[in-house]
Amino acid sequence: VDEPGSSEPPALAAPISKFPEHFTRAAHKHQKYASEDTEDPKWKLHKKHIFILSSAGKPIYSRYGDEQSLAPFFGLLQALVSFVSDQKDSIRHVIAGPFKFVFVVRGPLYFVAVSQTDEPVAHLRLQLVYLHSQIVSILTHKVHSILAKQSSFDIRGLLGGTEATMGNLLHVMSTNASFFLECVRCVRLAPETRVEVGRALQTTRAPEAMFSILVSGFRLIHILRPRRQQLHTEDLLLVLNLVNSSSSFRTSDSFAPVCMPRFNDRGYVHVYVSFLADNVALILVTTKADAFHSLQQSREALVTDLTNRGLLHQITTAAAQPPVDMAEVERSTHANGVLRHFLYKAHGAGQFIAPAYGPPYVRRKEQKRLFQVYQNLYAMAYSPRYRSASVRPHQIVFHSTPSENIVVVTSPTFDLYAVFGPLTQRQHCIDVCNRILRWLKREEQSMLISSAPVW
Amino acid sequence: MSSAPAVLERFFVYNPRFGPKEDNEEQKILYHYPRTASLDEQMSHVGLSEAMTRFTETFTSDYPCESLHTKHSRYTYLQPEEGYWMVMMMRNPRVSSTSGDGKLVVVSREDELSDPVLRGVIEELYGAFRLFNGDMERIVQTSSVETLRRRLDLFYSNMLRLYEARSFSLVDTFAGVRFFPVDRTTYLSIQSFCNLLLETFPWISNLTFMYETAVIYSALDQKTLRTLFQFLRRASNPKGSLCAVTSPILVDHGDDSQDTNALSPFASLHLQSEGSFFAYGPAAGSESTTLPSIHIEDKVYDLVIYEQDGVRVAFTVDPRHWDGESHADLQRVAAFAEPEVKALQRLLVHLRPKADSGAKDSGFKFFYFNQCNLALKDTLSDKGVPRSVMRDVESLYERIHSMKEDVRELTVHTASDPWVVARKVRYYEWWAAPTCDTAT
Repeated sequence: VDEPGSSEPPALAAPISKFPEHFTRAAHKHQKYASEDTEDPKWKLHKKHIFILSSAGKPIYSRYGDEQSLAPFFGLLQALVSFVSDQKDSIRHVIAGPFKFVFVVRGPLYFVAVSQTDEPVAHLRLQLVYLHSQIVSILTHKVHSILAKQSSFDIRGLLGGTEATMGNLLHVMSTNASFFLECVRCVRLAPETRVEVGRALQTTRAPEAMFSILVSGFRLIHILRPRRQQLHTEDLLLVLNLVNSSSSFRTSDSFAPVCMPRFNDRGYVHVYVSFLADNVALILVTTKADAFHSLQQSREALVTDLTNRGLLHQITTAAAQPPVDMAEVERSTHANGVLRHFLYKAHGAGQFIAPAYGPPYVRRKEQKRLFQVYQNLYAMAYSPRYRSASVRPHQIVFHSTPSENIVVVTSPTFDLYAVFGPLTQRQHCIDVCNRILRWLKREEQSMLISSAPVW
Repeated sequence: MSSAPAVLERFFVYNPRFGPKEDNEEQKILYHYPRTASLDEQMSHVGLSEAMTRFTETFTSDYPCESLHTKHSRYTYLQPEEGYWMVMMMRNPRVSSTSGDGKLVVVSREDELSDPVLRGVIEELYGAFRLFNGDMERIVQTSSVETLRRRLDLFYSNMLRLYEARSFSLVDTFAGVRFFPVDRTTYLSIQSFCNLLLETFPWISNLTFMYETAVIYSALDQKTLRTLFQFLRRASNPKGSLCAVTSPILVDHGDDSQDTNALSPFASLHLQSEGSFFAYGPAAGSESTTLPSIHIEDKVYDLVIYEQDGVRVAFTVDPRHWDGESHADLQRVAAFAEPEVKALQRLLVHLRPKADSGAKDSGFKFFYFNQCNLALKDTLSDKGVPRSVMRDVESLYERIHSMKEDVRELTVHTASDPWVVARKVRYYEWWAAPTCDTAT
């Protein structure tokens, strides 16, 4: 039975489900379980455990449970890793039925995930690698040499106060496609408006600002960068996570040191954060530690400029809506209700487009399930068999279950993952995919930033 | 640029129950291949396995530890009986090349080996041991741990030679049975021959009739048939006859004075007929023969396999029947069977699939498995089909079975490779790889 286009999602789902990248309350969920240990039968039931430890077995982080009372368990993890490295080998992962135990070793830091979810191993690895980058973003690469000199050093002291950021990162990685797709989403703006915004950023730029980024949640409004420097997605996502994990950034302008691992993992840059409106933030990245006032002034100039031209209002309205909802897609593709959702990644722009979730993916559980199916299909399309190919292959995948049919099309320029009802015929699916692609070609100017302004 | 294929590097069996204390820990190792490994090396690997299995148990007692992936190797775990663990370690295939500055760079291909395939292989390894020796625990109860150790050693040291990593494929995962399709009349003729045989020699039981490594009729229970079939498949040389290396596997004289030179494999019993029995004993037509024993349920039988012109008739005999008369009895069976089998074989020869049969015409190779009757049809393993196609099918299988989703169909079409289609309908599984670019 195909659902009609745009019925109002029930209150249960609330706005949170429309913006999968938003949520801060889950960041603190772990605190509820902070006292558990291995003896507690509830501890084992958590769907995904994350453990971080040093090569000496010293606990650094545990998503659930008290690190101190879990110390013997951390000792066991350390023993497993070293057992394997004694054989001149490196441990990767262990499978037991639906359970996946994934190990990532980065110098003296060990990261372990114990997962009962449907997330593929490749994605669990990615999450652990991000956690490592998160630690580096707080302490720089020096954390490696600290531990190398003294493996029993307790770095938890150095990481004090950052549990919320870690927790948030873990939560966001399970719901926001930016991480596994390795690119970001944009707020939808008419191309002319976006150009105007870019010009405003350029004219009001403080000389110390290296990157000027306008965002809403995890979505990009615009970005201004140096001619010779790109901002790596990983660095961007870590900064966005930082800004989104703490409410203190919203209340007043902040200026904080942060290490961007891909940009330079040995030192800090400074990040100026100021919310221009409830849902729009300005992030300025600078290498100068004393640039706060200068950056603040440029912020004032920018707000004035944007307000005068009516752009600020346009931005805040656009940011409050999803870039596209299924009703619009339905109108444009005449899919007769068979299309339920899709993900489109443009390789050239390094950005993706996805509509808000609509029926039947209204409950968070269903959204999560679909999300994990996307992850599995992505992992299949990018499995190591093809990684060595210099040109990404053209590939079409058809995946059919009693819940839905999914068509995946990959090519050197784009990836499309389209979800249909389970009774939709294969040929019909392909037809609709073609229609989606044609429609996107027409509309993508407003949904992607095709060229970022430079200075 | 050179490549080294995957290799079965290690295989061991242990039970912590036999070495519970610190000072006799090594007693828990029941078997280890390669024999040349030092005790320290063996213990460290057993230690790693114990740690690994206990670690996963911390989180789930419902699902035992299945596999460990490391950069260079793949470990597959199986606990076939309470407390007894079998571990198989494969070394990943490697590719070596010389880098720009002349250094040798070796890269392990970590995702090449397929877990479901390896699982099928290790289950087969256990199944075969159990078929010819009975449960491990039973051996310990009725005899001793030492006997178990000896049996494991005798069995696996020879059996492992038959397992070349190169030959592992999805076929092993399903442990299916290949059936030889015949028309109704031929089937009835075969059935009537079997019935006659049973009438004439009432001490025969569990009759199985095979032709050219495929089964036509069997009275064996499914589980045993499956294991026996797999063993015969693995133990047969390309011509289809049981090869010499299997002989020491099957017969245990119960003492340590095992002089393998005295065993001559496949000794034909100097029959007047054209057939021969799979039996052992001093070659020169002596009266005593030794037959391999197999364990079905809790009973032990002697296994007799009679081969003639591609036809293989297997049956079991209660060992108490012989009374020292085995040679004579078998002679009579051979004499009876020979003309009948000759006639049947003439019929069967015409039913063989032709070399370039319809499969090629339809433009695709496929693999079909029916869970209910264990029927397996496989043209993917045919000569001429590149291994990479099977590998594609295997990765689809892995993906489907690693997800909780009930995937009914998964089709992958890559521009340069053929389509690969996987379909599951209730108990049927069907995998195909068209060899030409036919769009659906």
